Amino acid sequence: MSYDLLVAIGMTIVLIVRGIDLSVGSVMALSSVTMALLMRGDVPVLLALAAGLIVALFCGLVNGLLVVKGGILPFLVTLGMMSVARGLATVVTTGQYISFPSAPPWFSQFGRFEFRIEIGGTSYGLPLILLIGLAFVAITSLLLAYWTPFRSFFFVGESPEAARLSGMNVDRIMITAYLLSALFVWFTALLLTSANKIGYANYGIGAELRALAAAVVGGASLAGGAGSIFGAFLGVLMLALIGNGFVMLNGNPNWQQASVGVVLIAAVGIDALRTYRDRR
Amino acid sequence: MMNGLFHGLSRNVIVVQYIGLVTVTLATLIGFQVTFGNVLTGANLEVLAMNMVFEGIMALGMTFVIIMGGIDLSVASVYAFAEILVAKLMVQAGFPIAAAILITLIACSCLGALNGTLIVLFRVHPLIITMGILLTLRGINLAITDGHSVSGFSDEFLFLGQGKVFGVNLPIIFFGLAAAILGVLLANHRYFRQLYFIGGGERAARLSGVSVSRVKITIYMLSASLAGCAGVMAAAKYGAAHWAHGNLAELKAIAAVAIGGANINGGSGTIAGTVLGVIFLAVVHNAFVTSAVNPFWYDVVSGLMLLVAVSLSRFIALRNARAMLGLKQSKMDQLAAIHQH
Amino acid sequence: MLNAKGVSKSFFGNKVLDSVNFDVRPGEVHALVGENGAGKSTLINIIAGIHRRDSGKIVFDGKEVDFAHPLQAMEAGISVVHQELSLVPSTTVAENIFLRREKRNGVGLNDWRGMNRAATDVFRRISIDIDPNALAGSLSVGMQQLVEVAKAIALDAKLIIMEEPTSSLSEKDTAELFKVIRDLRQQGLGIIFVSHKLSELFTIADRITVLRDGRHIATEGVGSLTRESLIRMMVGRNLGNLYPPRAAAIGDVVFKCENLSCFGAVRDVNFEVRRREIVGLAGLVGSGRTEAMRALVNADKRASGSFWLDGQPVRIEDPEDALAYGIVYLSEDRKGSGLFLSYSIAENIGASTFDRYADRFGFLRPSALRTRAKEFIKRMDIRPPDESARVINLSGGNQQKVLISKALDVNPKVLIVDEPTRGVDVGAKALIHAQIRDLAQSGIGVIVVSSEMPEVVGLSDRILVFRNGAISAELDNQNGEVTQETIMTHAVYQ
Repeated sequence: MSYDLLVAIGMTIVLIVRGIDLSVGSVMALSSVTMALLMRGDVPVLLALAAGLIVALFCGLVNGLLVVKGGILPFLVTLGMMSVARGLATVVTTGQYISFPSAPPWFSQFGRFEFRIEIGGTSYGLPLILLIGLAFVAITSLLLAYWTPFRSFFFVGESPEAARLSGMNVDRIMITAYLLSALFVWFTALLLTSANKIGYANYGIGAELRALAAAVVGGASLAGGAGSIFGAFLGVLMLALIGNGFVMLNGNPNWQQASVGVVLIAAVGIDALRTYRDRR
Repeated sequence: MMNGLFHGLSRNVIVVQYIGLVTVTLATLIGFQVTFGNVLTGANLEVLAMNMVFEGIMALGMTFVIIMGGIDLSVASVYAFAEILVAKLMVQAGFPIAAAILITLIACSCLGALNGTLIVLFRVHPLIITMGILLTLRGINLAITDGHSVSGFSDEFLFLGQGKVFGVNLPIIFFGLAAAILGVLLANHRYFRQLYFIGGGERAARLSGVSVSRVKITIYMLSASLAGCAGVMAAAKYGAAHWAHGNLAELKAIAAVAIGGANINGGSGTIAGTVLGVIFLAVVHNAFVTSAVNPFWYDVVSGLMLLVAVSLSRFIALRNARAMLGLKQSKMDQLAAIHQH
Repeated sequence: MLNAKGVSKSFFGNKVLDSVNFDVRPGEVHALVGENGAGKSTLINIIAGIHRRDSGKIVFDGKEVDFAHPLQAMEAGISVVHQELSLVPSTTVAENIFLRREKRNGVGLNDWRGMNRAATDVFRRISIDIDPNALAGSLSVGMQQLVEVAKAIALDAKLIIMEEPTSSLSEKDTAELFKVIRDLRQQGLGIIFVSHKLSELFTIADRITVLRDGRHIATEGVGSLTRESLIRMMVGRNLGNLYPPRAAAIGDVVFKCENLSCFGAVRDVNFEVRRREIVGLAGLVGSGRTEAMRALVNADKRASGSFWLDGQPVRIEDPEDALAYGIVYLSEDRKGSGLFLSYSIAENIGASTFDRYADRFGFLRPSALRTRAKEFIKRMDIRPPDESARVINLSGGNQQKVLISKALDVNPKVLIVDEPTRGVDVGAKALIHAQIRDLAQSGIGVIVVSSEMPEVVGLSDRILVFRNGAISAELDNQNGEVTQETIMTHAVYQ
């Protein structure tokens, strides 16, 4: 859930500027295997992480440039990137798990780190990554609400032309949104790689759909100009809870995946009914 | 009739594009044949064709959807759903083959109707709705099979996927027949010609009396039914149904349509183009397999091809817009010159 | 054949047609003219079944009609050739003509040969030569226009309505179209011809009806009209004292533009703006006024242009640069490219000047923005006086005030306002005019682009008339003596 949350934050930002990023899952995989392969090759950890970041940001940049300068529909651009990045990740690993035994132990520990809390004699684990996820929710919410560079995402998404005439650099702002999405994807890849102690080309399959569903459930619109990080957080939470509910109802964990789609359709349905009523 | 089949095809621009596509495809084939020498063998050609045939069948339906300005991501999971449903009906419920197939196809077309109805009703981008169905259905597929594959088919059923008529695999024959029939219909039947008008301008189409909603729903039904057919044959080909089958098939289908020259925003596209697109993707895929180059390159190449195809169509559109402006400019100059004195 | 009596129509309480009478006889070309917003398109849309009338009576072909849908009008024999072309480029000419009425062969497929033959017949009827099997997209705009006409004829239309059919045609294509129109007239069809180009009316029309402010002004045979009398009827209205008094002293040049061109829209435009001056840009829609202003801030890529602000050369690569110099362009498309509709008044006002309401780390200080917004609400009398109200819920006039406030917050040196009062009611209009004059008085150079000639005449100190992408006349209006007739003579080719 924490992984989904991080990706959903990035997805929300892209949706706000009227874009969509279907490549998040694949870029996550590519970034992960990059880091893992470099660490396996005894490259210093920080350097490997930086390389993973650069790979992710490069993918984000290509997405942004093709959308903004190429004028191609965002969903096609990122669909193409989805295939390319996943393909590259598979190519460089030939589909194998990439372990990195020589990496320092702290790296593979922090992804799984849990704070232990004693309540009434029982010990609960509070995963670090959940805290990180929540911290990012708070920070990005705050930035989107008050920080002018982030605030402009909304204006660009609401009306790109009006934003341009109001003196905003629409191209740069849109590209920034895709870069931010890539940044969150990299961070997710980092946590995944650390927690599982392997890099794998099949990380993040379907992540784009879950993130999209969470963001739309949380109030983001494909038409741009709307979206909330806290809403996306609730969306992720809701998907997780409903998924769990399904499991508890019939004991089959596999129903969880189906719930994502149902929630997505229900969310747009409710939204459609709302705007339909407004129109009348 | 032949004249009819190639209706809308005998136009310079499109022809140039098709010739280009054919040339690149042939060049790839011959290039790899010369280098590796194992491409143009009967066995390999069969592998080549069978590798893309199911995505190809889905691409046929996708062509219709894209021409009318829509998109259908759900085909991939409809395909897997058809595999599972037909398998369960035969293996677990003991239905006869024909009944099982019929029920499966009806179920699939209902899923398509659901897609279409939700799109018309909610007036949201088809991307969202079909993605929602994609997700839901994939989850259902996973849940009803518990992640296991379903197998144990009769030989008669297996024939649908593995059998050959005149030495050609049945799914390939199906693809060819479907492409021919749908190609003729799309080019010549008034009902399907409406798609071009819907994709070209929904408002104008509505003003001319096209019942846009009804057409949309039937086209999504067509797309889902074709995915269902592909799924049934795939179950027979693999001898097993599995929920993860068809992953990313929607992407390949869209890529084939885009490479075939259809405008992804709607209004243009042909079955002939899509068939060329499918063949091209199949050849490229095969080239990477036979050449002993790492076959994992395939995803990279198909993604790149998609990007190149849409960039190209965007470039052409920009050039046309520029030409229109040029026309206006020359008209303005002409007017100014006339009234100079 | 068509007789409309006392047709009225209101949109959102705005009366756009006020008991208009209009009739068409078989075998005549009846031209419908009037300024933008006079009610021509509304009348046509009612006749064609796109809108429904509020009151009045329309008799067509001897029967009273009230079309609920354009299809009904089509079936009855009324076809519209809209200004924007509706052919689908990737389909053939014949197919476009016979959409929804395709000819079929024995197996139910389209009978292309039959359709091509039928299309050829239609073309022969109007003596034009177009390959029915060609793709619609491969035809020139003029040819596409003729195909639209053919489509109407193939529907057995008795009455064909043409909306600005020549607006994008070359002289040669126009001549071709007129030949077709004369043919149709010969065959007894009625034609309603809407055009801005006065010279054309005298060539092609039999009778002319003038609308103004939704009212019927006159219907006369073309022989009894002169260009001057026609223009007078179109624009003649009492200006009264609706407009604010003019500037006392116009200052020195604040902005100079030379050699401004935009491919396909603007040809070599040169002008100056002075402090405390309002320059009005007049001309027909599509004459290059708006296009020139958009090219000035490079919102649309220009081909050439040099600019001086306060005598210093300035480089304007995009609207961002323009704003930095204090040159603000407010779009005519208020809702689409002016305002951020779902956001609050305060956020809209601060959209160009966000940084000013942020601390040095870029964090917004909402209270500062709110305070500033309150000032503007008071100064511009924006209603509701609530800075957190969403702009989408405001009336057109108040939206325009928000837009102007947004521009003012930049402290502009040059303000370009495109159609400042489009869709704004009379009261708010006067207020906006007064405010624009106030702004000029405060030392700003103001450019007003407007399709409404009374507005241009009443407001401007100097008027630049656009025609065919260039400035055709510069008229000094400091005494308010320029007449609308004068502008019109420069706006159209004689």
